[in-house]
This record gives sequence, structure tokens and C-alpha cells, in this order.
Amino acid sequence: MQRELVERARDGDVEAFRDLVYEVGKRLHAIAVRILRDPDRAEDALQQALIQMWKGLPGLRDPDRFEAWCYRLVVHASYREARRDNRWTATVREIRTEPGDADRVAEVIDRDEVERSFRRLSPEHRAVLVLHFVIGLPAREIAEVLGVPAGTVGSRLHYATQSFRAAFEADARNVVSWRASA
Amino acid sequence: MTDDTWRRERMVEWLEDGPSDVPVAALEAAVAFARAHPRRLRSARGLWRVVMTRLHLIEVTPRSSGGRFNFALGPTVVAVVAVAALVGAGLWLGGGLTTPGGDVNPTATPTLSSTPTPTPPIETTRPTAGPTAWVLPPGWASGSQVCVARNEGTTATVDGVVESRGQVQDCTTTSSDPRLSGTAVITMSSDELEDGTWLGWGSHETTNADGSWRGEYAVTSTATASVMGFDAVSLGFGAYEGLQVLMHVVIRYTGDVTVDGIVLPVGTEATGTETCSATGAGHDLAVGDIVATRGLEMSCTDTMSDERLSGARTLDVSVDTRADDSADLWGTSIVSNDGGTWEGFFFGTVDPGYTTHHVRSLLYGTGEYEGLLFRLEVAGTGDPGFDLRGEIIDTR
Repeated sequence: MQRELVERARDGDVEAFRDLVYEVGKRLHAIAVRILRDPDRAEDALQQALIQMWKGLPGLRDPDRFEAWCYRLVVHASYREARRDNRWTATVREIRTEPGDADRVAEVIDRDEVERSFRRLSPEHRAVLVLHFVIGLPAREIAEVLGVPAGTVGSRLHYATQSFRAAFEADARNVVSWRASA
Repeated sequence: MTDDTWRRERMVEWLEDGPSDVPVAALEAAVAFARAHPRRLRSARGLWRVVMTRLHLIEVTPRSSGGRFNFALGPTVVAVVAVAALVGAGLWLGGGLTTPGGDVNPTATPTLSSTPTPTPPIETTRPTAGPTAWVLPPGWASGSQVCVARNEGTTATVDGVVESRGQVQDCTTTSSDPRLSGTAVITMSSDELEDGTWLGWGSHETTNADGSWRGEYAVTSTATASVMGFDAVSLGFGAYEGLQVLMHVVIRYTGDVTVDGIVLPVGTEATGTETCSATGAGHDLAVGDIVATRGLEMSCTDTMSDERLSGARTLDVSVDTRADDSADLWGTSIVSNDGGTWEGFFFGTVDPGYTTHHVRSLLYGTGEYEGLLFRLEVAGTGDPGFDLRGEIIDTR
């Protein structure tokens, strides 16, 4: 089904393109928003990727590679969006907590630590984590998406996980210190 | 549960927990763009052949001949190679070229016309200076060039622009100055716009027993052109260290390529710095594995040890970025100051990770600088600025 849509869209069928956009849009948005951690910029990256999709479809020789190709478009659109002003902006989400809701407070602290840890990673490392843990791609397919050797994906995945762990532990130590000095 | 497992689970949970809504506005904007930019069905490869034939630049020989060609672009490239060896500089003859027996007036705009965002196309800054006639000057060597295609590269059509990348040719250059004779390897990429205007660019290296000449080139043409011409500067290596070649290359519809040149010592270079800011973000599109950025506008301030080379520089930039964030970039630029302008084409690369730039230009002087060429090299990451090296070459 998707192959037929891809072939029709590649031939200039706008309605087929529309169907494709709605079919893959959610997954592409999920990638962009997790790499960029900013919904507005993620939306910009998604739109750019989709426009590139329309522009680039005639050059897609193998329709079966469509999804991997789309992932590549949105990953690179996210890179460019992040690089546009050379800074990574954060989305601050307010999570209301009630006094005494200890579990909820602990969750907020956990999430904040994870967020900070993730934010310390480079966009390339974030992309590997997102493609692996969110989209569920194996290293070989991530390599195809990113246009790098599978070995590079493996090392990036390892490095990203290790970096995440180190950042996480550093943040945990800071929290302990802050608590100790309070 | 170990700490590692716990952290990994937190990370995965956190990654998975994100907005589940789809930004419909972004989807519909892309669909609206597609409706506003309908695509025609054309064979990219076929179109390329048509273009080449229309330009009278290609001569296809029977398969049994080993695939030898004489093609215009090839010759161009070849010529370029010959030209240069050079330091590089692609020179865009925006003012047109008239050659004895020829009728060319290149008017191509060296940027793509694609506009993947629903914003008006950005006006291209276009060099207007350049030689309008060519007669072999005293002291110049005359030469010719013949090429054989090694690799035809790849071709894709994007929004009506035929983008050819990675063509490689093996050439033989014969010159009345033996220092300019030798074997040459020329690479070429090109964009063919819908109206038939054409821009080609690439690198070349001519080698003989004593050394080599290396540089880049750029050339434009039109759908009806029967002659193309351009200038380039190349730098010498080996026994030619400290020398450069100023070359003028003419490619005729017959397939004949002349490569005239003069060897000059590399003069005292001026140095300086350049700081830039983007004044137009341009737009991106996908071309196979490449992310193509078109219409990027930059505004720079150049401060050089030779005041004639200082001034405000505006650039219209095209960038092809690969997966490793290395890139090719090219475009036009104009340096303006009280004495006049320097106008021309630039070509360069960016190292992986989009770090260090290596850009070369050959710029024509106007006003008080009429008859002068400015060979400019730009290097660095741009943070805080770029390093400039350049030289004025007197062609009068």
C-alpha cells in the first residue's frame, strides 16, 4: 500500500503525497520533537522535511526505502533547525504537584534529571538514541538512515548511552550536594 | 534492578513519553506546497542527454569505441583543468563572453530556482563584470584539450532543475608552454535550470613530469549557446611552486576546446579577516542523500591589509550538505568599497561536522579596479571570523 502511494507521489500525485504525509507525519514529528526538545522548532523541522520529501521524491529510486529516507530527512532537518541559531532551547513543562505528593515530586525530579542529561548530548547522539529507542530501528537501519557505517552507529549508541549515564550521575551528585547543603 | 537498568528504563520511558498529537498545520502546509508546486514527469537522465545535445557539447560515439566522448562540459572542465592548476578560482562570466566565431552570452543565474518554502524567491546578486571579448594577449600560451569520461556521476531532477554530480574526466592538455601541458583529471557538477541556463563547476588537476597545477572553476551557458568561455586561476605544485596560471578556456560547439594561459609568479598576498552574518536563510530541499540549501544570503565585512580588497561583501550561497555534515558550497559574491567592486563566483568545501571552510574565489574588478583580478581564499570556521588571503593580478 505504502509502496503504491510512494510511486504515485513520486510521479506527482498530490493526493497520494497527502496520504503519505499523514501516514508518516506522526512518526517524523516524534523524531523531531525528541531530538530538538522544542515543539515549535520540531514543527518547523517536520514541515521542512515534508517539503523536502515532495521535492526529493523523484530522486528516490527504491520506494521500499521510503521510510528510512523520510527518517533521514527529518533527522537532518532537525540538525539544521538546531544549528540555525546554534543553541538548543528547552521546553519547560510545568507539572503541578500537590503538597505531600511525594511520588509525584520524585517523578518530577527524575524527569528533570533525564531531561538535563539528554540535553547534554550532541544532536547526532540524540538522533541515534531516538531512532533506536523510540522508533525501534536496529543499528543497521539507523546506519542507512543517517548515512554512516553501522559501526559508527554502534559506537554512537554506546557513547550516547555512556554519556547519558555520566551526565545522569553527575546530576544526581549535584542534587545530593544541593540537598546536603540545604 | 541495577542502577544501569533503572537509568536505561528511565531514559526509554522519557524518550517514549512525548507529544502524541500531530501538528496538522505542518502537514497541511507541506501538502499546500505540493499543490502550489506541481511536478512534471521527466526522465532526469534523458533530460540531461537532451541538454547536452542542445548545448552541442556532447558527441556520443559507438559503444565499441570505449565510450570516448568529446563533450562540451567535458571540454569545459578540461579547459578548466588546463587553466588552472590553480589556486583556484572559479570565475563566473556574468557579463557574457564573445569569442571569435562564437556567439555566447551566458546569462545563467548560478543558483537554483527551487523554492521549497512558500516564500518569494530571493533575488540573486549577480556579478555583472567580466571580459566581453577574447583575443590572445601577448605573452600568453595557446593550447587545446581532449577528454574521456571516466565516470558520468549521478543525475536527479528536483523541481525542474537537473542536478548532475560527480562526473570525472581524464584529459590531455597540449600547450605551447610545456609547463601547461600534461594529463588532467577534472571533476564536474552542474545545475541545468528549466529555461536551459546551465551552471557547471568543479576541480581540476593537470600533472606533468615536473609538477602539477590545481584549482577550481565555474562556467555558465545557455540552452542555445554554441560557445562557452571562462577564466580561472590555478596554483602550481612541485617544480611550479610559487607560480600560478591565469587561464582562459573556450569550448566551441564543434567540441574544440582551447586553453590559453599565462604563468605568473604568485605575488605578495594580502591577508585579513571576514565576519559574516546571514541576511537571508534560504531554503532546503533533498536531492538524494544530499540536503541542498539554496538562496542563502550572507553579508560580510572584509578587512584586508590591502585597502583595495577591503569592504562590504555580499554573497548568494548554495550548499550541498552530506550525511557527515561535510559540504560543497558555491555562489556569487560582490565586494564593494569606495574604489569600485570585485565581482565573481566562489567555490569551496566544508569539513565534516560543518567545521572548517575552504573557499576560493576569482573576482573581476570594476571602477578603479577595472582590468584587475582578485584571487581570494577564505578559510576557517567563521567563529569568530574567517581568515582571508588574496592577491591582485593585473591582466592589463
